[in-house]
Amino acid sequence: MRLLKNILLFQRKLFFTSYFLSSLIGLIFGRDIKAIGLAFLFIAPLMHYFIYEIKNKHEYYYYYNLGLTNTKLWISTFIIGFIKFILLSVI
Amino acid sequence: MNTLHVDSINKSYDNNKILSDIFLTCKKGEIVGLIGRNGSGKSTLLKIIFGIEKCEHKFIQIGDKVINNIASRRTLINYLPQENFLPNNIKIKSLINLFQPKENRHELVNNDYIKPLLHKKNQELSGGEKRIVEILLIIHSNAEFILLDEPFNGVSPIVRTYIINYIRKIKSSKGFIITDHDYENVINLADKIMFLKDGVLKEVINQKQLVDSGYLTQNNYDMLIEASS
Repeated sequence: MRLLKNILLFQRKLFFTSYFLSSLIGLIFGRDIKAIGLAFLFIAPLMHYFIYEIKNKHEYYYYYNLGLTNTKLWISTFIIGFIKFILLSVI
Repeated sequence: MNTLHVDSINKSYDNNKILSDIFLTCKKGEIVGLIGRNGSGKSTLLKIIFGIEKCEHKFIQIGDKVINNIASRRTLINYLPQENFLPNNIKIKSLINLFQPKENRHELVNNDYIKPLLHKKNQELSGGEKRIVEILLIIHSNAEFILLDEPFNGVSPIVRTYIINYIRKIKSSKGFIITDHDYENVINLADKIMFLKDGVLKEVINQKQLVDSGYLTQNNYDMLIEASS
């Protein structure tokens, strides 16, 4: 449970920026809700790369000390992106 | 009693051997001081032991368990990096709850240095305050072995003394490997001193060697001898 909460802490930083950017891109190019989901699928990993790999690389140590590897954190980003894409596709 | 065994570590950068056949042991209840000049590979060695730096060869074992990756050492080894690493935009109290198992939280939130910072966010703390939160978070974890890379960096002398005494107080339950540019504090704190030079790690048997190689002044050496006798 503690690990899951820490993954959500990691994703919190990505979520709002990704949500805002994907909504903007989705509205500009697709003007429908599916386009927002599709944009989120690509924007979230981009934000992950920019926010953590470039801007806050040292924060990874916090997660490493909890046993969360780089691979696990990247997988969490893709899973959340995919869930959002599926949810918006269903709507 | 568990022992951390580090064996056969080899690491090169661009054909330059940084670490050559490193062998190191740390028992639970022991403090190992790692000293060496800038760029001698101390931090690299700690990162390899923690599992976040690749190398040509390594063998790491705790008790009977061979450690291969970060996930397998989760409750066994924790690492304090040189850099501030706590996430921003979250209160210290919430971070303690997220980082520490339930049983360890009470002592930490009631710590005199942590208490006034509980409702502040990481980015609102000074460099020294960040460091003490980080150190206490790491050494309070359930990990059996703690790797501290420059723990006294940016910390005031009072806090430094507090940390040294605190590590001494809890050392019976954990093993520590410490490296810092403040050699005298490391030497003073350590039960065993390892000296890294030209990629080779050697144990310092006689502290007089440290005076000869410029890591300790004669005055401080005399004080250490006096204190230990």
